[in-house]
Amino acid sequence: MIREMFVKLWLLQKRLLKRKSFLLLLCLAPLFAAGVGRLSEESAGIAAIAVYLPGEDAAAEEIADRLFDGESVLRYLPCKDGEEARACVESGEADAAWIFEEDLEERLKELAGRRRVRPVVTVLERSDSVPLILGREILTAAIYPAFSYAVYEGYVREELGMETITEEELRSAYERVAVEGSLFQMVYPDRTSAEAEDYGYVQAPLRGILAIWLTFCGLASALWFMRDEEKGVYERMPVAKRLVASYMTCAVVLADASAVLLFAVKLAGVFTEWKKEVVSCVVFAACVTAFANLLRLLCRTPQRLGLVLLPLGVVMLALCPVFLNLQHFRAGKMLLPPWYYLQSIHNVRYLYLMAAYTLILLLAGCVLQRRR
Amino acid sequence: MGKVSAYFMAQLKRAWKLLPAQLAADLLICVCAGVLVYLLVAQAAIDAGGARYRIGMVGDLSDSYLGFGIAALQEMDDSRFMIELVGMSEEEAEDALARGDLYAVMRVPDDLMESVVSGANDSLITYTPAEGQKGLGTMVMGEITEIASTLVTSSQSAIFAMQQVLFDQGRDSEAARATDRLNLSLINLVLSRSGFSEVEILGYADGLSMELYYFCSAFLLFLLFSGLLNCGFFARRSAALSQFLKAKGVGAFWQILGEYLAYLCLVLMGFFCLSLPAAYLLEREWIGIPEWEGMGAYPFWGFLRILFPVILMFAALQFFLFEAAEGIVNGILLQFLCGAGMGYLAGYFYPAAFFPKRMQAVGGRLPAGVAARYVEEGLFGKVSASVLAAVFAYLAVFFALTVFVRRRRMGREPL
Repeated sequence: MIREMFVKLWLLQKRLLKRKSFLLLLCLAPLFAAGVGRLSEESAGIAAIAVYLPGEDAAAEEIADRLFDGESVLRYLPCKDGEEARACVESGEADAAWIFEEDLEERLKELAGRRRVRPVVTVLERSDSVPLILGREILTAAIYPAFSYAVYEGYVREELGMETITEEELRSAYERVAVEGSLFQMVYPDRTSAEAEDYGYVQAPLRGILAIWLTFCGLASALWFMRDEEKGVYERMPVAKRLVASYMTCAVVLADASAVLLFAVKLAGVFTEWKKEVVSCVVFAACVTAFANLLRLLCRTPQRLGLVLLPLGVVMLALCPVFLNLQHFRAGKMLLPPWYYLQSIHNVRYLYLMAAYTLILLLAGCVLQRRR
Repeated sequence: MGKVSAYFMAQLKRAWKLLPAQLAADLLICVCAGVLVYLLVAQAAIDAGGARYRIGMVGDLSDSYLGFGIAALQEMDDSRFMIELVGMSEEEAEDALARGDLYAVMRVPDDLMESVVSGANDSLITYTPAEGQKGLGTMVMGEITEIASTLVTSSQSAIFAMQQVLFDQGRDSEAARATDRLNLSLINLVLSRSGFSEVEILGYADGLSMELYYFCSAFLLFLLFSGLLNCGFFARRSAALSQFLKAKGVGAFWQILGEYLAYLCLVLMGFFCLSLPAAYLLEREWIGIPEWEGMGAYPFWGFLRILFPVILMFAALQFFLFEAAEGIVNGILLQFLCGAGMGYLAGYFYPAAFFPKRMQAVGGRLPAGVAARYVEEGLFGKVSASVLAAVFAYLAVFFALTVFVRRRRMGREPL
């Protein structure tokens, strides 16, 4: 029985791999993933900021180090002077310009002495937007370390009456006790740290796009089975046994597509761990098999199934966390296999939910098949 | 010529037969889009009504310093307009996160304050975002937590350094009072940190507003994927029929032209169906687009005229993809991958400006990118000759490639 099944699966696989265009099609997904992975190596940001910082100024140097070294969701364009920064905004090259005052260190010291916050940077923005509001917070966080140092310096000299203390002594005391590092750490529900994943937001949607592509592979295989049924390929098979045959057709297509998905995810740079990825992918492929076959049984004709593709694609793109994460419509999300898959990578709870959902789909499929 | 027009009419009849089902699918798309728009509008209304991102705080929050810090964030800091911190147990937080009621969960370790006061900072606050994976939202959140970290650690450094100076000078007894005073000064300065910058909004608007950008993207995406909707048109085609037609004097070029025009009619009908509810929503001003404010659906009709060359190009692209892929199944997969890939690179999902320069350049040269540029320029009433030429060049290339593939197939398959 099992041997017979394997032979059938192998024959289906051979039939599939004979189609050069199918093989070519499978190659397209990793090519796309690798291409985007490669292109995303350059710096990118949700807003471009033209920055002018005065030269030979200790505070300016510290701010420059904070802004330009390290990862950010903003893209910085260093400028020679304020005019150049303004021109960048006017020409549309940058969304905003941050033009710092010439005597920045002196100005910060003066403000720190008075314990007051007053403008030390002119921010020019093309228009108000959420990324630029975030940008202003990033800007103040870049200024604050230099400012807090100036506050400490002023406090020691003026409030504690140590006017004679040298700059070196103050600096050495500060450096001895300076606190560094972050107070926060992002972790996933499975307690793995987000720092382990080294990719940006440009690559992040690739897993979701590939997951929807795999769902389409499942639906296309259901369509393939329906067309074969129409051609009379399964004429000799009793209707009751055709469900198994359709699962086998789907399984063959999805086995190839799953291998491609794993490879593409690896090439895109969004891969996590082998065990986690393989287990999630296998359960996901099983879920898509059951989902596609249930839709096949519900739609009854290839024409109807074909018409469902685009609305389903729209729903998956909107409700699965590929590009945006809508807080509402959880019931709708729970009907979509890619949603479980995307959540299951870092949360084993969704892996079990996906397995349970697969069982429900299988049962529904059996009931519908019996009714035929 | 008579045979060619007869073939076109036959194809048109095929398209006509597919129309009712296609209209039903259009209706389904409208319902999906309507529900999505409703959800987004409802979310925006809730946000405008003062609702904020809810963040669940798990852990012992009874420490007076920590309580003061949270109260200061909720009462005095600028972030109070955006973030709501809610204390809850681990189980409640996990359930709320799973239900989608929380934006993130923050877990405060028991020894956080000891760690902060000592300067060791070895007990980290861990946070779990609602998004199951890394993405733009989590990266923005990472940036916000980095800002908070910098504010806290810089203040810590200043206070510890001041204490160190006092210890070095043998004035240990003054440390406690001086610490309190410096601490309060720094908290005041942190709360008024927005005063560091003077903001000037220049109000340049040579680009589309985000609302119009995504409105255009939604239409372009529909057109790019409409091959999936019309895949029935490409079913049951055979090389034998093509060869028979060729024998009757209808060559590959005329076959493709007849089929393409009929397919175009089908695409246009689907597009028209989707446009009607959009026009209605604009007329009732349920969709707010700043550039079209107070004008009802009038500018939308102009937008549809602009889209016409794009429809011609995308229809040719879909026609080529179905012709190049052997069989309907491969055709569907190719349509999806090309649509999603090109749409992503061309900035239909995230604005193209979010991408690296090289990626923007690649995306801008793809058919989807050329279409986006053409539409943008069209909306400003200044379509450049180069973009228009690119649209028609792609149209010609796809058409020629389709003819080439059909010719090859006709020559390869035995009658």
